[in-house]
Amino acid sequence: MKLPCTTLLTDILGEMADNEAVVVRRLHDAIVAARHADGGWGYGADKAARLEPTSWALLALLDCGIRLPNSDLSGGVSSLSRWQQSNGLLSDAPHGMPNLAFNGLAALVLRRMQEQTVVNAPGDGHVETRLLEGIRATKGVRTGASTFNRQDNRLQGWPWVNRTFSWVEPTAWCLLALKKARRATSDGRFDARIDEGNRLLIDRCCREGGWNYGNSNMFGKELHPYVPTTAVALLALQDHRSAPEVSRSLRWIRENGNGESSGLALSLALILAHVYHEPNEGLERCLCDEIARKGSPANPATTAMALYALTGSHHAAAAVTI
Amino acid sequence: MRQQPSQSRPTRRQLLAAVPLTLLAACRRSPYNKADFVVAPQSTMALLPAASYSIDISNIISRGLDLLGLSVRGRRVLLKPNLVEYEAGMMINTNSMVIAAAIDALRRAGAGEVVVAEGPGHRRDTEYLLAASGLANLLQELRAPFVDLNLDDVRPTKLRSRFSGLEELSLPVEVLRSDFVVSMAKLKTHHWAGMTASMKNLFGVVPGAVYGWPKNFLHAHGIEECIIDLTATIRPAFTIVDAVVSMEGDGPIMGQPRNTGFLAMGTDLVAVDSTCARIIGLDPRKIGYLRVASQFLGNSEPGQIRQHGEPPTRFATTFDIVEPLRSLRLEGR
Repeated sequence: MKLPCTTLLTDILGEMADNEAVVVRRLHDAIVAARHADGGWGYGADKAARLEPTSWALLALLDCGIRLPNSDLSGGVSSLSRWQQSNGLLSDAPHGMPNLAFNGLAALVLRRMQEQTVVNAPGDGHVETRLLEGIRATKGVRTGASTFNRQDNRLQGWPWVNRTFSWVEPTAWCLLALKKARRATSDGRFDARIDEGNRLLIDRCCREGGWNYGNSNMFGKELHPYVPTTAVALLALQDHRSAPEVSRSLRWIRENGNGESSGLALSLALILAHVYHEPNEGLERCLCDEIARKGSPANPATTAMALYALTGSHHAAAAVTI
Repeated sequence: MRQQPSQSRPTRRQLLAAVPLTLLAACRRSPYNKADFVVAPQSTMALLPAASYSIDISNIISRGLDLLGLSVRGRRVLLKPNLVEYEAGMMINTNSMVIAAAIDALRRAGAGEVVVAEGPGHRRDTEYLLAASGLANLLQELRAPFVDLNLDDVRPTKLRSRFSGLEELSLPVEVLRSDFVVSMAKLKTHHWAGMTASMKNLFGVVPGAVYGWPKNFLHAHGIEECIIDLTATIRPAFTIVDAVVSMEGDGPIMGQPRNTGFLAMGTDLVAVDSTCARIIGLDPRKIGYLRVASQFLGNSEPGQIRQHGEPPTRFATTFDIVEPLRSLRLEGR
């Protein structure tokens, strides 16, 4: 189903170069077409609604000028609340475990909904409150001193799934979610987790700057950073710009941000550039070229991510800005 | 980043290797139902020379299928390669030319459909991995579909053995609906499990969107225990191990390429992996998951394995391995 552009999206498209507007319009149509009847999004049009694509698509709906009727936004919120477990965390797979990285992302979406007050679905604020509590209460496992790498294993960030080790992406997304909520609500309960999350990310920064998936070194070898992990870690540490690890990593991603040709890497690097007010024309061009060359991003999650990134000059990536 | 086990339990491998299966069984409910697993007295496999990736690998795979008497006619085949990470010049992944050759060989053998499917266990950005490795272009040329198992729909699946203590896993629908799963592994040392080949390759079917990247959930439940449980549950019909150029040293990511010059194929993954272990100088009886798997999943001893093609001695060598794994070496190697 294709919906007409709203005035807002038309304005956004009007400010873009023709080729970029074509890409953005294509992404918009793809997101709308991939929407499930229940209001959620899957990793493919024929796949079940899942947390990550639904969260990115809702963010696109909220911030990219796509104003579907409120009932459709409520459908997305309903998907999130349907997945909420008794501990507040969201789990999208039957008998599945909550994926903490995507829970952090979902918390940012719910916060953005509150900020925009475009949805007044019953109980959506309650869903956010419970989710944040679930995130606050979850920690990666603490272990003893490592014999095979240089890092502080006492620090507890967030794991991908409960009762496993802390990794960069879930830590970054959950940390960012708590920081956003902390700013909005002045809720001091989050402070200890925020402090530990900050320290874990700083501890895991690669020697050359940037972040690998979890460790910065192993068996005496320094590990290399990646664009997506570095981008999300820098988003989470945007309030620590004077830290040497942040400066070093920002320098690394300036030099390497368009070095991984994929919708995921380029979109996250571009979102980061919006948040840090970095020059982003090169990244925009790369992302547009990548999408134009491949026809479409890999899946609806990446499609929505790319749409959010390419319209960043309009919304300034406010949902992920502290 | 390295895949690492739950760091609080670093001795699972030693534990599994040291404790006889009978004792495990006596201590708790049997981890599998014996009636579910019938192992033939003898397994058959093929070791075929492949000096480089530029030769006609498709014909080698066809020859392997013929030697093993396998029919794939009309089958819905799922090729599960090992795609982990991309580093230029490194031999981390199943080579794209071997994957393309397998697609061609299986199609020529009459497969109804051939799908390539993988859920990279390290790199979350599958789109980048496919492009950087060159596989995306090859698959496009061959018009072969790729399914990212990390993002596929999932179905709760009861495990057929429970060495990990897990009763079920959410597994990708694409794997569950295939009727001929082929584990297309890369032969590498593995700094936690000793060696990775056709059995360890199955970690890639566990979906990252549910369990995260890397598959740390499996590590927390014991890498070797999960290797056994996944193999027992998925029961691939066939394996092709890419040992044209393998990886020695600090595998599975940061090791060094080593020319080994062969493809190993078979229907018994335990037999194929045990043979590969012996070829690179490791004793399968000292690799915990192979030792346990040889009790109920397949054959491991040379006398139980009928070799087609070349004898293992033709390719025998001794791989460099990280210090903690040196105890896994064959006597005298």
